[in-house]
Amino acid sequence: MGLFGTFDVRLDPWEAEYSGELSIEAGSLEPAEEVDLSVEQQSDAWTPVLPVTGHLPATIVFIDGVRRVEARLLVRRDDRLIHGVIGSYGVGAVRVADGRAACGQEEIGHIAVLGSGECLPRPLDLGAALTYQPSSSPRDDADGPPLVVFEAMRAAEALLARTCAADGATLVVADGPLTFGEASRGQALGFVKRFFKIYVGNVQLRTLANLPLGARSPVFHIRGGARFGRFSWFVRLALRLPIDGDLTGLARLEIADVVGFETARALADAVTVVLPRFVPNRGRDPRAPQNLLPIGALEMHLRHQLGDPRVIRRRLAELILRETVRA
Amino acid sequence: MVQLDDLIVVETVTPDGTRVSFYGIVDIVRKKFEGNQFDTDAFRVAAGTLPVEVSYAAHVQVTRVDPEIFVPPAPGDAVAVVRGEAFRRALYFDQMEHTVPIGLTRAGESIFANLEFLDGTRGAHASISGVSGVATKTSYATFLIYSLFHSGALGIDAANAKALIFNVKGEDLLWLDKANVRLRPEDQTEYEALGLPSGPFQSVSFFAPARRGSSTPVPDTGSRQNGVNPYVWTIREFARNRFLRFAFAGAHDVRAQFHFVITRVERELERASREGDETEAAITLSGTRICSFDDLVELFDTPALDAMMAGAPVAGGTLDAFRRRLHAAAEHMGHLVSGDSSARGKQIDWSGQQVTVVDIHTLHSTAQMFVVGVLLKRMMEQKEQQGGAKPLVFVVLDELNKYAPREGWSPIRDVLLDIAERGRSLGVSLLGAQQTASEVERRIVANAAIKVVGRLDAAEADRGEYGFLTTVGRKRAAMLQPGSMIVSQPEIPMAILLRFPFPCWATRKSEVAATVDAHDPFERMG
Repeated sequence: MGLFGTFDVRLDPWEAEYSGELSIEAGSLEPAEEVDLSVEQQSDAWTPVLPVTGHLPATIVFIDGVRRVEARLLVRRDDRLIHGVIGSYGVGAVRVADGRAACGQEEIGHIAVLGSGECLPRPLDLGAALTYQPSSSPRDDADGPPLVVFEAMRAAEALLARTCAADGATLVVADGPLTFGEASRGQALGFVKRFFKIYVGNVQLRTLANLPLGARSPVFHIRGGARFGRFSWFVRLALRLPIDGDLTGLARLEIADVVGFETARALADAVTVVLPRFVPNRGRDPRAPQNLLPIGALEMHLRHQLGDPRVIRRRLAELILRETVRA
Repeated sequence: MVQLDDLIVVETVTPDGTRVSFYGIVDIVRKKFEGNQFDTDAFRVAAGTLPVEVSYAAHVQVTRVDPEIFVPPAPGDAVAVVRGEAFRRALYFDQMEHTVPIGLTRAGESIFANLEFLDGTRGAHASISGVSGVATKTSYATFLIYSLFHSGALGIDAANAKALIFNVKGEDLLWLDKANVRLRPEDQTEYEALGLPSGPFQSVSFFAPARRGSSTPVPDTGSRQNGVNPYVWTIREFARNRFLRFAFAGAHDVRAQFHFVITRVERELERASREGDETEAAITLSGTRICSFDDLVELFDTPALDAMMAGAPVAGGTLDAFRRRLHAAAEHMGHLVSGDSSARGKQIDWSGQQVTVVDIHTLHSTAQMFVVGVLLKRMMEQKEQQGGAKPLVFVVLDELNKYAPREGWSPIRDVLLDIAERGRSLGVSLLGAQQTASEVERRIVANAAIKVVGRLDAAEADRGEYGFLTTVGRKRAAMLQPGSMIVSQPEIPMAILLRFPFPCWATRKSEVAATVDAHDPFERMG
């Protein structure tokens, strides 16, 4: 009995990058939601909110994760073709306190995913600190297994964000839409960099386009869908250049509605004042201004810890060769 | 935490199980942010918005691979800073049979030199370069002499070994026989660490030029008179030993005919010195009684000089040049040659004490050349007659670029070159110091086994003479503090930065212990 059990595992000769990393955003997959734009201001008379000062907890923690598909697998069992991938993800936090920012709490995961509801019989050991845990996707197309890597990362992010938010004196800013809403002692914000869903109408869009630097939109409420209810608002992080579209330089934030409207509004004011401090300039980061400095640095830090994909691919190739020859 | 100049060891195991130790010295250290992309990211880090790591890396120059299996150490092998026995191995001290302490590292470890490269066994001579005033060249040379004589390195040879030190600047060296009251307890600890006693030189004699115009020779010194012997040569000694050439040491543009004239005159003088009463200071030359150097100058102004050429085809211009230069020389060194009977037995005798300090700092450059030339020539002659390398003689001479310039001729250069090239076999070791080694006769610098630099001028440090310094070493030499030197020796592939302890002998009157009564009525008789 080989390492792969009854599976015949082969390597897709194309580097994983060629098949294109899926642009997966959880928001795009969600069912329809109900939006109430008149929570703070009447929806037909939105004006920018310019907070002067805001009170924030002493510690802000930015949470983010990275993921990577290292190789695609072509697996046969009997006459069935099964798609698979090996992939890695990492999540971590940047803690900003006392005028210092520091990376920490990194968690790295490696998984080997087979589609069509199949699963490898045992972990793939590719050397020190490189053990791929078996996992499975019910889908039988090639896009199923990479999604499992993404979901594993999101789950790890949510877990880390929840752990960090458990401390009442910490504000957690998690990358992407909020995925957990249960009452916790602290506060967690979802920081949405790209808008697959706008939530507001054309009238409000005009207000957003003319939002001055350091201002936010009125708070609105999103309800329903697969997730819990959230308060949300837009923040302008950087000035728009003449070439930029209406929504350039904006970010959307959201918070679980269990905190109550007043808390949400106070936090909205505070982060509107604070977040522009963390904005990189365009020369530093092509994803500026939304890709905040701590998040950009954390991604680099995490990617580095995932290891060199070329080494991983070679080790996998050696392993597969060994198993194929043995069979 | 690893620092600059630390010695470190890395051990690696080859596939066949052999343990290989790599010793090295840290020559570059640097810290940087990891995770930043742009210089301006430093501001973001300071503002607390960008997380980064700080990396601290040290560059190591390998000094020794033991055993000599030249494989690289493996990345990730553990590195340790070495102390004690391992430190000695890192710098090959364990292979040196006879060592002399030459200083301390900043961490307080003793640095040694192999005596065999100073006493002529395998090499000799040291060359010390550095900017005047800050490089502490003379202090270091004196420390080396102190270490040689007081560390026990010379063994039984120490009893007969001699040192001849020329004092060219100030009167720093006129107090070597007195303890330094400013020596602090921590300085004493450093001497202890080096295995040296801390105290004055045990056996020293001082010579200073006889004061000009004084009927009986008295030393021409400022701060110290007691215990300093005046020196002066009699006309007869001057003539017999052919010292005349050294009176022309300052002349740079001399032609072959000029040498011929000097040689001819020297021969006549030597002949005259063998006539008459040999115990007398004065001589009779060409029928004229010569009682002073001025008498000699006057005699040569007459046709007597032409007669001495005995029909050799010497141009009148050459003779005139000879006269002109002799006049100029007499003005500066004439008082060091006397025909008075009181001058007898007043030449410098270095056989009495271990260390002989000859003060020339009050003399004009021409007279300095004369004294140095005369002494070194006599010393070499004596050593030749004795034959063999023992007893050893160490000569300390500063401003070597004046005495043995790379460009131009100097009679002293020939003597110094002779010492540099044959001194090893004759047991003469030259501790030469100069501001710029690039201006000293190449062969003299090249023959020095031990090369030392103190603070160097930045432009000078880039010259080829300092090839033993690494690029970083050259830059560091330009900012060395007094008391720190970089020393290169043949067995250690890398020049080592060291410091030497504060002098335990007095270097000025204020450092002399008050218990030594300057008015001791018996001291003059000693």
